[in-house]
Amino acid sequence: MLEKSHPCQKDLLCRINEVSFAINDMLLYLDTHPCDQRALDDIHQWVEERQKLLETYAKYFGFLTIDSTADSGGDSWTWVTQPWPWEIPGKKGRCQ
Amino acid sequence: MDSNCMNNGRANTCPYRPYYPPRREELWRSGEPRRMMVQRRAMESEWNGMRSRETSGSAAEAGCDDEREHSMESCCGGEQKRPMGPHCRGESKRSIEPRCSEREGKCMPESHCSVESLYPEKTCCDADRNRMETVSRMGKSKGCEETDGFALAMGYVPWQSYQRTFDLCQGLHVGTIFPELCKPFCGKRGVCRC
Repeated sequence: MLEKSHPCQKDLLCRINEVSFAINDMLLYLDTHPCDQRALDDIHQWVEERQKLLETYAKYFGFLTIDSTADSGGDSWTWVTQPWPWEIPGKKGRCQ
Repeated sequence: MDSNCMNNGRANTCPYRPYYPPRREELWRSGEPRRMMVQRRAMESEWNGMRSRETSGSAAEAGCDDEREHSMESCCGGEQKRPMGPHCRGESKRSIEPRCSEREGKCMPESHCSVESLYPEKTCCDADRNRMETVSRMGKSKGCEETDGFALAMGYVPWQSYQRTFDLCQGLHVGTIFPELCKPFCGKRGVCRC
């Protein structure tokens, strides 16, 4: 569950993975069906959701992609200082 | 008609039908004797060879025994007159060739054409109009080497249509967001373990 105060990093990362996978799969479908409006609507929705999730993740846990570096803020390059997803204590950051 | 006829017992309601060679599996299931199968394949090769010559435009090389010509307004894109193929009855009956003697009285071909005794559905009509209608159905640009509307020696992939998607969590788990593409392997060593 996402909380306004501090979301769960594992859940947030898991949701990012789910949405990203759906985008990639729909991207393949649109390669052969470029005019399918339903598919276009879905992928646009997922892209927006993914962007918001990446911004949230970058705000609390550091940026995941180069596109969300501005959202992480700070005065240091947190890319190498923050733990990698598989280094997160507990369940190693793996999506269950 | 006799069940031994190659038209599989179907009534020939159309004066002229295009000939599609029956599928090999269907013939095996129907119990076609091997000797008949060999003869049928020889006839198919001859038929395909003659059709290819016709499409190439060399009407004179059609190799038809009947040298009478009739006009062609369609089929293979040619409007030139070309000889009638052996499958065409034309306006005259011809005697059954010796190789088809074994089929006498079984298929009751109206035209007594040697080829038609093997392929009753390919009964010809006297009018070119029926031939044109049949060829239009075949498709002028598709040629003659087809089975059930699909060209031979080509691979086909059915077209996917967007129905619905899995929940995103389930999609990541099964490997696709499209339920129609979810085909898990349920076997082991060739044996289904469902």
